[in-house]
Amino acid sequence: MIETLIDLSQSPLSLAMATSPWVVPTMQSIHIVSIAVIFISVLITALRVIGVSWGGVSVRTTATRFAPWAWTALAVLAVSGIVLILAEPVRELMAISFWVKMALLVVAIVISVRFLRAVRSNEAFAAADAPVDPTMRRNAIITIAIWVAIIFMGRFIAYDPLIWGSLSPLGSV
Amino acid sequence: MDFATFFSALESSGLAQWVNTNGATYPIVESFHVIAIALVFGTILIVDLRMLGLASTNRPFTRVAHDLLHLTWGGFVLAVITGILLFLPNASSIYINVNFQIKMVLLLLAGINMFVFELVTARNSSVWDTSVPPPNAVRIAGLLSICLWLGVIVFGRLIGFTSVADDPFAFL
Repeated sequence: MIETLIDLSQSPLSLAMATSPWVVPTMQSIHIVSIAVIFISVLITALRVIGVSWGGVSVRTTATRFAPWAWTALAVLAVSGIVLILAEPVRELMAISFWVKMALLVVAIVISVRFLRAVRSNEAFAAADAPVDPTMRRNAIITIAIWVAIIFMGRFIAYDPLIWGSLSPLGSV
Repeated sequence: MDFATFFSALESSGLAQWVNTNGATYPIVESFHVIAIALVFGTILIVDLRMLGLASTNRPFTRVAHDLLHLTWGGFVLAVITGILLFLPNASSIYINVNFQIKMVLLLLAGINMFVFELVTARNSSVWDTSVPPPNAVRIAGLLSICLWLGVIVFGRLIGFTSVADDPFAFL
């Protein structure tokens, strides 16, 4: 795999991105802004489910308000993330932190899709003063924790050998 | 004591050494800084979009702002603490970094924009609390806020790029 990635990093597209003085910082800035949008969208929706924020409107109205922003941010994160991978394929794809981040992302997406489906089909979520569901509250807390972990793993990609020690393949590259 | 001496003293302080050399401390502090940025910018964006009349229009402005105030200030305190910790180990090179200086000016302008809004425009918020769109003065403050905070994020990210540290506009 490492040979393929080194070849990829030597491709004209990757070299152009890696040597450009603005591609990587611009993509990272777009990535951070999108992280802010998706994290806060998930957080406010979760806090509404828990019952501590965005009161006076239903869980369904709250989810409808924030879900499109979260999905749009996710799309922008994917595009800017792919550009960052192309610029530095070895550093990204050989990092344990990257794959842990992707695994956590899959879990977060599955929880969110299931949550939004339930909110859309179950009329209990349409009432502004509906009581908090304990299972939903637990899932909301887990979702917040997963997104905090995703942010940590994203930052840790740049420090993979320091974080994972000899486990990180990047330590020996 | 001049600036150079002061910042080099900061660099050799115990706290700076702790952040820089204590295993994963630096990346952990950086991660908390990203979470703080997400809290500050994310909540401010929601309030600004409400001020522009573009989102959350089914709720009064004061309700939106009040809901998010604690998250914004909590995030801001976390950003300042983690920001200082990240600044210390490289204090003498960061304080002369043009991107850092631009970031601090934008941060100051964002603060002034917020205080002018709070002290002048928001005083009669009961009049336009549920108006969509809100008055022009409110919308201008919201737009300014979004632009200034985006600038804070972009120039904050640029601090770490030495290739653009001397002249961030070299590519123009």
